[in-house]
Amino acid sequence: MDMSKYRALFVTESREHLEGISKALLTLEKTPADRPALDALFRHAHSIKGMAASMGYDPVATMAHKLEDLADMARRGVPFDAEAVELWLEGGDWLGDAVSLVEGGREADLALPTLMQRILGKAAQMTAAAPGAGSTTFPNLAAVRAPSGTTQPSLPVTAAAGTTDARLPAVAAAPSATPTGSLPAVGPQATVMLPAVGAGPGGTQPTLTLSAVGPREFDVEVRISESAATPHVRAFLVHKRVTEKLEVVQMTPPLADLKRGTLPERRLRMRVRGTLDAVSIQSMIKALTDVADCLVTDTEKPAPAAATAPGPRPAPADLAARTVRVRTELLDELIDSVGEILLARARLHALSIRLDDPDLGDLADEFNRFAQGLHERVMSARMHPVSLLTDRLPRVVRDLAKKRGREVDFTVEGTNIELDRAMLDELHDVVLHLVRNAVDHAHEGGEARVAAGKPATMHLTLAASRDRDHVLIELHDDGQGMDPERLRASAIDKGVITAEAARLLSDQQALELICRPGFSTAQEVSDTSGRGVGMDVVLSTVEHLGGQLLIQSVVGKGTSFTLRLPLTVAIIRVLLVSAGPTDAVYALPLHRVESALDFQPAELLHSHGETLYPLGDEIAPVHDLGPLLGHAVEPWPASGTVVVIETPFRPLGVRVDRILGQQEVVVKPLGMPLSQVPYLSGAAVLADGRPAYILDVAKLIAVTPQSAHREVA
Amino acid sequence: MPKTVLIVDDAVFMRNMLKDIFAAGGDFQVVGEASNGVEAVEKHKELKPNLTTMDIVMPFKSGIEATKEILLENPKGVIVMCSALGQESLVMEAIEAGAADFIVKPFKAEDVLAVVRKVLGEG
Repeated sequence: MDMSKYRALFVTESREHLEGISKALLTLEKTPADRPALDALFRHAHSIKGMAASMGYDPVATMAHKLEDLADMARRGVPFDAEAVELWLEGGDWLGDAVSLVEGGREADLALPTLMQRILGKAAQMTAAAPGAGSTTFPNLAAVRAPSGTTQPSLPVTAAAGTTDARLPAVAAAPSATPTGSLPAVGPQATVMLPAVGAGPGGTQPTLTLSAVGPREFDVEVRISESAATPHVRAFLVHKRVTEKLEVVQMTPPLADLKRGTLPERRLRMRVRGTLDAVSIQSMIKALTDVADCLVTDTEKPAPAAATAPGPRPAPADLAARTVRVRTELLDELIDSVGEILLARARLHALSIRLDDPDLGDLADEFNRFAQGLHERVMSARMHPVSLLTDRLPRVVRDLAKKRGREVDFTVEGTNIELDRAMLDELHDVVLHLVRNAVDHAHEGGEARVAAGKPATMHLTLAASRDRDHVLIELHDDGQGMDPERLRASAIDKGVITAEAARLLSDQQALELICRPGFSTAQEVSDTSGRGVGMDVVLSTVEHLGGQLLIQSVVGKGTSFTLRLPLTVAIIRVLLVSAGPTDAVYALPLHRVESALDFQPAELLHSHGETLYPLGDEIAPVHDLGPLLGHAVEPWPASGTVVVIETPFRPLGVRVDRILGQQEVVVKPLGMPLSQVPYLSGAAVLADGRPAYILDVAKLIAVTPQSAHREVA
Repeated sequence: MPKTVLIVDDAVFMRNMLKDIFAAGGDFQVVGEASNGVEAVEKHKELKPNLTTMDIVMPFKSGIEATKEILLENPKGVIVMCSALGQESLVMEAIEAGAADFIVKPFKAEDVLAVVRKVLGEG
């Protein structure tokens, strides 16, 4: 079977499980015996194991399997100590790396790390500590069957030829690791703990009859027999059998709880819909093993003896079971299609005006409404909670703080705020960098904090909130803050800025120096925040997403970084302008446009080879779009409009021939070779069907030598 | 006509115990045994038993994977999972994959027979 098509799903789902593992471990660190957390660990590892084994990623499956064993032993009462947590953390990290290898198509490089020996050692130690270890004769979950002198992994380890390190080290070395394995005994009472069968009367094979009427709804209450060893699994089986014949509209406890092992009072309540009659449903369920009792009530008939009044229909509790997984690319394609519809809508509207046909006008309006509705729904399908971004952060903070020997109290707020999925993907590294920076650089160190009269623990808060059509993500710390004077000095030292320019910067602008390429105030490059993504990349990513980065800092009090982001990126509003002798149309993202001024050639100023223009309160460089885009260089025209563009450090003026208007456009990515042109950020098809390039003006100016300009004619 | 049974378990102890239980039941005929999931898939294809008992944790291929493969190939296959306490999530996985029922180790002969008779529609 071709498994390659499942690779992406494996990667996605494994990462979800790894996040679940992260969360559970954080809980276990505080409460080592937390049963739900241990269950979660077990379940996540088990799921990864199952997927990895299906994919043939044997080292991954083996690692997950062994980690699962540790969790399982803990579930059976062997203390889950700090060492176990640490091994799990490291194992989880390894799994994360392994998933990345798989993602990069490098599964052949998968090989078990030496960490495995420590995990196996720990497993042996926990086995020895297990109550009643070795007293059962039944093979069980954690059993590692290792005939003396041989090494036999319980999962096949078939690494790429020649990689012997993928083999499992022998476990049998531990004397207590008898073939009965690492699970504690079930206990003597278990030998009589057997599922009793046949509780239901009759036990005849039900005959399922179709009723003549259409689908009806029934309330079903099932009680699982006292003798059932695993009542929730019984209930799970009941649910499964029921779903084969009927639609389960609602269930208490929800499926997820059943899977977690919860079945209060051994009772399962379901609202089902289907064409079976009550008697058939009842006999079908009663025929199942360990069903002690089953009551079926037709919701459309008064039910005098019904134990549970139906009441208002509860919200579907098992939402998880009602979701489907969709590739992000599919959503992108969908948004593209919707974009086309929106453009067709605009053309239809224009046509109805031109033809002056009221019927067509009505149709255009109706079409408009549907298109808007569709657009909103597709957009909402792309939205994901910010938790996708923040879930793994507590672990990052914990690890880093531990490494640095610092205490950090990290709080995340507003994780249910939603953002476009594509945006969340891009923001991942940004947020990670900011959080690491805070621990690395904002934290003064415990002693210094106490000396400054602050608690040794630094408070770090990541809060997401909605601000009309923007989402704010704010990271606030109560650390040492940034000193504008020190930043100026540092920037001069590093040649980022001249001493003269530094003097002219306001304190706020000085803070923004940290976003200049090549700037870092760290005394030393740390192994986390000092490499890879820098603040310059943070800023450019945020801007690329059409957002803004706000930095506030007070020396001694703390710093906050606020990312102000549009809700979605795929559709943007642009300012359409024309420039050059061919009257070509270009689109400027509206969020970068500050204002537009009438162009007065007399106001042009020339200084040190730059052409400047008064843009509101400031005098800033101005460029003529036509020559910038390679149209013939001519003297400055006598008319036109100057569009004022926001850039990170100062505004820019761009003279265009004409402003054509604003429009909402779907950004289409460019193919090769146009995608290589740095100042083209995409293309769009306009309402009248003409194409237009979307320009990144700041980049355009950066790549064009200051040559286009000359004296006014 | 006795129902044909395939017993899948990596422990000889368990296989023998189940064989004895089915022999005592009278209306069953154990036609094959497998000690791992890979064998189980092969034997199931070859023997097409009325019923398969499936251990969960086995070398080379787990009972879950074997169950999935068998049912993919033969959706009418009747598979009863043999689980231990603590394998609840695995059992549910097997049920999701289409396993007919499950028994929990350590088991008693009458319970095993009652479950398999139910799933074979003889309950």
